[in-house]
Amino acid sequence: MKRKIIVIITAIILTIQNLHAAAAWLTPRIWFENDYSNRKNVINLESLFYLPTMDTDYNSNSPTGTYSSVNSLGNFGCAYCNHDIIFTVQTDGKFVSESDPTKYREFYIAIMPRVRYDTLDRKNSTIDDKMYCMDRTYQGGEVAGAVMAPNTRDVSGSPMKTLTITAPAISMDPYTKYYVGPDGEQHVFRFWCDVLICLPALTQEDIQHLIESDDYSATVTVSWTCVGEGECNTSHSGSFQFNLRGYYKTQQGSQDSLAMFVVPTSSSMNLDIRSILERNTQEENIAQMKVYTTTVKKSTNIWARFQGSQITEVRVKPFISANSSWNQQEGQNPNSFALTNGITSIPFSVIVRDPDHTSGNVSGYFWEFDGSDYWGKNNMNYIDLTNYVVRIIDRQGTEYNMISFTGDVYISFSGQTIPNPLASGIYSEDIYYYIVYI
Amino acid sequence: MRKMIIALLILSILSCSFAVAEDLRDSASQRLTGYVDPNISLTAENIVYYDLNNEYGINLDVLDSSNSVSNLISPTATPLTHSGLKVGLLSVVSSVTNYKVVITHSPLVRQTSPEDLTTAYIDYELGVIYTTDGVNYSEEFCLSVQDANLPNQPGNLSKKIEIPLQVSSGVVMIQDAGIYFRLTNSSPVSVPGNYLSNITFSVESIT
Repeated sequence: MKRKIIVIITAIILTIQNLHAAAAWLTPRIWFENDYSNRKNVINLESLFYLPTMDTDYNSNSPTGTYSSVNSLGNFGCAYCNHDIIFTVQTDGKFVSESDPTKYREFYIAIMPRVRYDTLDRKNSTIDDKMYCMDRTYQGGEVAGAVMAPNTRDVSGSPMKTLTITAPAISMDPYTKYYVGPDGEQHVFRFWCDVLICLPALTQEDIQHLIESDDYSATVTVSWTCVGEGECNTSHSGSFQFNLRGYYKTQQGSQDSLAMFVVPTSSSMNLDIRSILERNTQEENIAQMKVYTTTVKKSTNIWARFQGSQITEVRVKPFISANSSWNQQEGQNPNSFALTNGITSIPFSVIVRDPDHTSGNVSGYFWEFDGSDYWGKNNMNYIDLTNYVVRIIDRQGTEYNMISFTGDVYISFSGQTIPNPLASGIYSEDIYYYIVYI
Repeated sequence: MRKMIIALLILSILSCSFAVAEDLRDSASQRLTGYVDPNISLTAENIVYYDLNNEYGINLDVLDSSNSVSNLISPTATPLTHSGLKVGLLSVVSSVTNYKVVITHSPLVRQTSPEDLTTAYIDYELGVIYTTDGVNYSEEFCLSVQDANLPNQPGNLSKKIEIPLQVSSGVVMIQDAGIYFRLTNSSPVSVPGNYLSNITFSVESIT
């Protein structure tokens, strides 16, 4: 008897817990998600991202033209709400250079409404993930609001462009909170919108107001308001902001989207050599170096040189050299780094460090070059970006690799044989940054 | 033996198929400049011209329409790169402040000889395009500094180019600034002969 009571009590407790979990699962909610934030924070502004149009995409349930994991910034949506919710997407549609606000790249935003019917048994169900473009009707209602504006370019108003869309109230069983679908089955119901960034092909006019830089920034704000303020466990209005960054560099190759930026420090033109030598580190910061790849694709044959089974191996190899040729010819003696005034030479090395690992020389985040490296040299030294690869699996099961690397570059006299006495004079040296893709 | 050759051929083909190609995808260069003790370095070099007869120098015959120099007549307002003949390069590196580069030049003076004592001169405009930051470019012009020994020429010592080398701190660098030559509207060449001009570059303190 005692054992039965224990079993019954345990069963009751477990049931209550499950019910509690189910209740939490079915709680009305509103969400915003920033897709693949590491990758999306940096967008190649030379890219061409599809711009949905009324003629092609209106009322189409084929997402082929408009949807791509590459240009999806994120999504917002709601579930189990029994009242209308108005979502508003707003942007001025410009990536603006922070260093030169006269430089910009226009972009547009499109939103793709989607609905989802799930069976309650998530593990075993076949998820019926329906995807609709623009004004597509769905069972039980019609997405309204953005019907006549497939993207922010087609929205009037300046400078801010706004798209609005209304998530309709969902009829739910007041007790179970299950949505009853047309098939008579109980379903859980969600509504959401993918936020797509659209970049039309660059024109001659665009190029007039673009500079090579990686300091472009833009924002897209999504706000929402409940209509009627029915059952909702959150506040009845709110907002979310996508903070975007972009870079532009010409002739980088549109498919691979691989770009390097070197930003010299002011002190690189003003090295007080004697003062640096007197420091404990004998170092001075001379530049910031950045490497971006945003759409490098792997494990497919689209960019065949990146195929292979070693999915963590990075085959983008940056290095720094004293040689003006990246692939030194056989038989030529490579130069090494040395500041010279034409008579006296002061040898040095160049160090690259991850700014998050500046204390000490942490393996994997620290590289040192003597200037003699060139492509084809045995044991060529290069910056191994293994730790800077972000592997992304998108919804369509495609695998991408992205690199976002920022390194601080230093001149270092440590361990070098410095001429003594040190001759007065102006000293200079050219150093070369290369990035090789194999 | 035949099998071995075939196997080697297959291996050879396979090795070709898996050969890894590499591309230089991006590059950048950076000039490092430093100093040991305060210093100023100034260098200038000629760009040498020859005429169609392989004679050294610039053909100054503006009446010859085939001579491109005839198109190199100022006004000053015209950008140098469009109507000037690049005759030299100037480079300056300075780790001291409050100095300036001063450029002056004499007129083109006809060279005389015991057999031909005819004197003549040609005023001309000298210009320089330079940058100290690699982004913003400046253009400066000047006519000849007057030589008191030449007839009918009042002295005018203000005819010089001055490039300040003052920044708040650090090194000022001018790399391969172009030196341009062009005739003035009032300088017809009427006396044949060889003409010579001296261009002087100096560094002076800004007082």
